[in-house]
Amino acid sequence: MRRFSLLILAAALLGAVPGAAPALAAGERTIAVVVDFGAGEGLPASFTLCVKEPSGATDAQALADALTTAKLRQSTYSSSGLLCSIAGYPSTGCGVPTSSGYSYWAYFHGGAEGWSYASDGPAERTASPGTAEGWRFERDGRGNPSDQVPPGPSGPAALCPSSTETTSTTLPAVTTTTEATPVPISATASSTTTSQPLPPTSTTTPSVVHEAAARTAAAHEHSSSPASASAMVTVAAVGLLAVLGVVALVLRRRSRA
Amino acid sequence: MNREHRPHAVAWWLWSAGLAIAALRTSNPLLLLLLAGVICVVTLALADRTGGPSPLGTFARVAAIIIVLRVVLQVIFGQRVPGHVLVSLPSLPMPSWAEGVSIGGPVTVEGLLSALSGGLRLAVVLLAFGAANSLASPREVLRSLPGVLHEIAVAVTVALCFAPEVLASVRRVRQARMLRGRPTTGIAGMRGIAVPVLEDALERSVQLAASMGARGFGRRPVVRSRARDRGAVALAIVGSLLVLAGGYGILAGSDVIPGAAWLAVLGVVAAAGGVLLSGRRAVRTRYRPAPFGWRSTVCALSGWATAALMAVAGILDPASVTWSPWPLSWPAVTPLALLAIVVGLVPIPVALRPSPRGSTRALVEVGA
Repeated sequence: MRRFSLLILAAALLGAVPGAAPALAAGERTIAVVVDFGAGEGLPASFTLCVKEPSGATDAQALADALTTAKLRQSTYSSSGLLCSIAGYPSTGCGVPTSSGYSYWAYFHGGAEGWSYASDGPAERTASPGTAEGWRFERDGRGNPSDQVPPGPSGPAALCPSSTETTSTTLPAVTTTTEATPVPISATASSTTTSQPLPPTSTTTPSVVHEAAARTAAAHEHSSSPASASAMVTVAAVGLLAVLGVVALVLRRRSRA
Repeated sequence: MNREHRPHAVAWWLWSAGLAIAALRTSNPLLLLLLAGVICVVTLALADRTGGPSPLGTFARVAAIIIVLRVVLQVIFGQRVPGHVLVSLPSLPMPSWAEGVSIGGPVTVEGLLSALSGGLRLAVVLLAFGAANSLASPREVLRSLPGVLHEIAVAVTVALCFAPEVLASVRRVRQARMLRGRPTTGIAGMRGIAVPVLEDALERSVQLAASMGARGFGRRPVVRSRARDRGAVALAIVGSLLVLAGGYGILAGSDVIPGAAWLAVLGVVAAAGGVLLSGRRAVRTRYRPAPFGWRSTVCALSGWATAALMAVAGILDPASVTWSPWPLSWPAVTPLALLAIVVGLVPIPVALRPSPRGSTRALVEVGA
């Protein structure tokens, strides 16, 4: 997955070089991923990203690739497959009932005619060409199609203008980030292309990843010292489990004898 | 022989309930496995094995079936969840009105793991119930219920006796038919067995009810005040129902039932009021009353301390007791959660009897 996103980045940067204009590979499609955290203090910034996916990839894959590209934490799911958090938000709970509804990540399919509330999960749908996938965090939603849709355009043409042409050359990604956070480029990618200024098409796309998002992602990184202590406790727990297993086997044999 | 040294039956049921609650509070497979280990070790070490094979084995088999079933259902009908695809099964396309149902499709590592840990949780709860059954028979618990609930206790006792009676009866009738050369399988055999078995079981249940009546169960008490008695019973039953609802609300987490904790407290107060109001209503004697001594108290407290510590660990740091396979990671354990597990082992040093080998040797020596 990571390697794939690096490929996307490399492709984007290669595309930025004038003259080199690789078209979408066979079966590849562009998916607009819209994630809206809503307004509030200390929330990650909402973003829109366009990602390229091979045919057969699911919408969950598109979201994962978008989060990797934005250097945000991957989304988490509950055991039933319900999406719990995107980019580490919310940090606890999964579809928590509120006084009059639920606070949860609502999922929408976007088309030219607007957003429609999804009746399936992102892992159940194969990404079809030129669609938009929207996630909006509902603080007090109903859990049905009456919930508020993500703001802004829903049409993939408006979200990823370049993708409508078959010779899409640019991929608006983190590269539109404010200059404070440098674009992460792998060693191989940076060796082939230096930090080229992006063609003007990318500035017109609504893909915005704010500094704040990157900062929240950095804040979620744990320091290493408590990690080793917790690893010790986990090892102790595994040891205890082994001891319990051996004792149970011995007791069972003795009770049979 | 060492009966007086054994903790009270109610204490064992309380201990098991505590461990089951602890299992319901966590989704961390490592913690669930540890809880299963604690349940098995304590049961194997302390169960009274004089009454035939321990029911724990049966419960363990059922628990294993549950885990397998859960995984198989996840593979075939489970929600398609994102993750690393292991194998892609052919999937049946569903019409748009049945989009929520999925059959087949890609099987992901994450989906399998979440099904495994979900099944494990149910399995541990079942194991805890099996441990309670092995450590103390449910009849012993019913014996020590407060008098105000004795009608219910009688009904439950008869119901609990019915299933084993039927099984024993089936075995008897089958043997008799085999000796006479009659068919024991197929529809003919079934009809031949069912009628005498039902007759037999009914007769035995009536017999049991008669013998219980003769021993003072279900006898009309010396009536002091009918209204007061009725009130006491109503209070006790309503209290028990409130405790049930409150307990469900607390265990289910989030706000399924608003004010669940207050409901539970109210229920306990109502039930206690009912018991106090009725006083010693049922006129019956107790055969060999079992004392609820310090051993029993420690055992019961140990189970509930496990549940409480697990709950506190979950409140302080929800990530320490919950686990989700997204992203794939080794389940981590915090010191508080580990302490909760270890506390569940306390009954072993408290209630361990001298080893049976030692006692038989002593008997042999006395005999010689």
